[in-house]
Amino acid sequence: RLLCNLALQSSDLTTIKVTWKKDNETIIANNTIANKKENQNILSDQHHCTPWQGSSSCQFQVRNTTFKANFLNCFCLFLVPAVEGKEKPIISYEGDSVVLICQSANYTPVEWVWYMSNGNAVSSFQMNDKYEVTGQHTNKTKLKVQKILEKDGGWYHCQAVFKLGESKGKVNIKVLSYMVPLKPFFAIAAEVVILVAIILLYEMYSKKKQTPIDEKEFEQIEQL
Amino acid sequence: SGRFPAVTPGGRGRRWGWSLGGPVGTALSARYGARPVVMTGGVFSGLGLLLASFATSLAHLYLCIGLFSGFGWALVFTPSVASVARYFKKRRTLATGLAFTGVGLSSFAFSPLFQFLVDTYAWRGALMLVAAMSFNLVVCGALIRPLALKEDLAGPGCPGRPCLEKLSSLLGLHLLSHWPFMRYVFAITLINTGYFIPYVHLVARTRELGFDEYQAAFLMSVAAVADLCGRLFSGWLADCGAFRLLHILVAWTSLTGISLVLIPLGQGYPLLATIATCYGFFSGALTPVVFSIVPEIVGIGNIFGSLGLLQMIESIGGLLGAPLSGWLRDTTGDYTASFVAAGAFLLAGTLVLLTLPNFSSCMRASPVPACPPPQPCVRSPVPLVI
Repeated sequence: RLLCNLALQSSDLTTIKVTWKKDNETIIANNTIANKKENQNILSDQHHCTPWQGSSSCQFQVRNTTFKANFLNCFCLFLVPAVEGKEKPIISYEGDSVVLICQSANYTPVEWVWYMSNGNAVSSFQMNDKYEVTGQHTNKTKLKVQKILEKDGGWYHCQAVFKLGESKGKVNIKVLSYMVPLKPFFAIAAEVVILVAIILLYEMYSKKKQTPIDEKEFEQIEQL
Repeated sequence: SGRFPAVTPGGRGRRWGWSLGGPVGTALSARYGARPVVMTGGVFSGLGLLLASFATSLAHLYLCIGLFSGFGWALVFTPSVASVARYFKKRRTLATGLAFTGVGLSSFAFSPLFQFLVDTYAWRGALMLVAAMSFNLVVCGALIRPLALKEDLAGPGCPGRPCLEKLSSLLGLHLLSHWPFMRYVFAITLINTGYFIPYVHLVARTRELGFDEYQAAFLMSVAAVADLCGRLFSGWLADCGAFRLLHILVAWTSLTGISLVLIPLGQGYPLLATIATCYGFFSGALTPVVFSIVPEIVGIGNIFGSLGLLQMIESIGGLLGAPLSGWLRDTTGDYTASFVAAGAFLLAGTLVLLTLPNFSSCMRASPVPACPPPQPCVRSPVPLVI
């Protein structure tokens, strides 16, 4: 929104003409309506904003005098809805199917684009058996990757294309092989076996030493 | 005792495995000793979790964790508690209380650990590693040295006893006609019905009052710490010898019931926190006494059968308690009714406890003998030594 403010002494407002120019091209000419009048200030505002960057000017013509103001380096800010991916990496194992979800709050984009970045290379997906995209035109899109392999790990980007702009989100997948949890599993299982063996062996050893005393205890119990 | 949070995978399957495993575990322990049973239970529970990590459907998951591991946990739990009671006579309650602090400590330690495991290995890998950790129960079982007590005389080594009689004596079925014990079991079942409610509903109640999740979680942690302290304090107090175990138990159960009834009155956070702490302390305090009083009622010779029966029947209370309180909440709109009902169950159980024999006497009671065990055989019985 661009706002022009002209402070005048006289109150003769009917003959004021406002001209707005963008980069020397007139966009609104001789618009005799001043938007607001406050205490002899005349305001005119423009919110004619398509994607645009540059300078603009507004011009007030009061009877025979022209007042001009220049706006330098204007630009239009569009707020596009943020796309939510997932911050925490999704862990999956080789051979599993993974579903990646991207959401764009309450705004439905025109379409979604999925791509993957490995280092700097950006590649989009062949729509073959391995990849399946659903929810192309809703506010929630899903990319299903089947029979995932270790090389499929990394960052996946989803891009929501809106009428006014684009917004990106990303999801990280980490692919592990079954060996990764198996190693600590076997380590702990080995520890269990070793401890049990130690306990039982120690008991057998100390029992052998105590055998004569045990027999006496048995006799006492039987007498009761 | 085995206070598992209500929201674990396995649901009803876990309860079935748990209930059935109790008497089976104690019967086997009476026959073969606690050690092999606990070690087997450890293997079962680890195996169940390991198989669950390969699950491809929800039913598979429920079966493995619920039935398999639940059964394994029951095989571990009851014989272990019975062993503690057998090993200690003078300081039985303190020993039981100390043994039960493990539950509280492990909840603290394992919550962040599990979160880490799931974040690093996903649920399959996490289950696999938890299975490995469960195998350590086998180590614990190995440490339970066999013990021969003079009360273990009516061993099954006697030939000539009919098979059914042997089995029923192992399962402790002769205790079903032991009226003081059955009254006790009934009291504990009532108490169990109300006992778990706060674990299930306290967090929800806190959120209902408008507090956020961190405050609710903090409340549960505070109650858990109080629970731990209660267990230790109660164990120490009971073994002081100044009071009878039955009187102490009645005191703790009635105080727990009262604090449950008072929970709905806690509208502000400090008051609610205080009441929750009291509930935690008293409920922890009653736990070791519940188990250590059993030998006083039926004698240490019957410890396996009695604990198996107790555990199986009391778990019915636990099964009914949570859905009942959930239903109350749905019909009345808030948690007041369910907390009051829980407290009422506890107080009802306390009243039943008052009917136990020799309640009003001040002397330490000697156990009312169970129905005489089946006639000893002509030959001298072989003591149970493994």
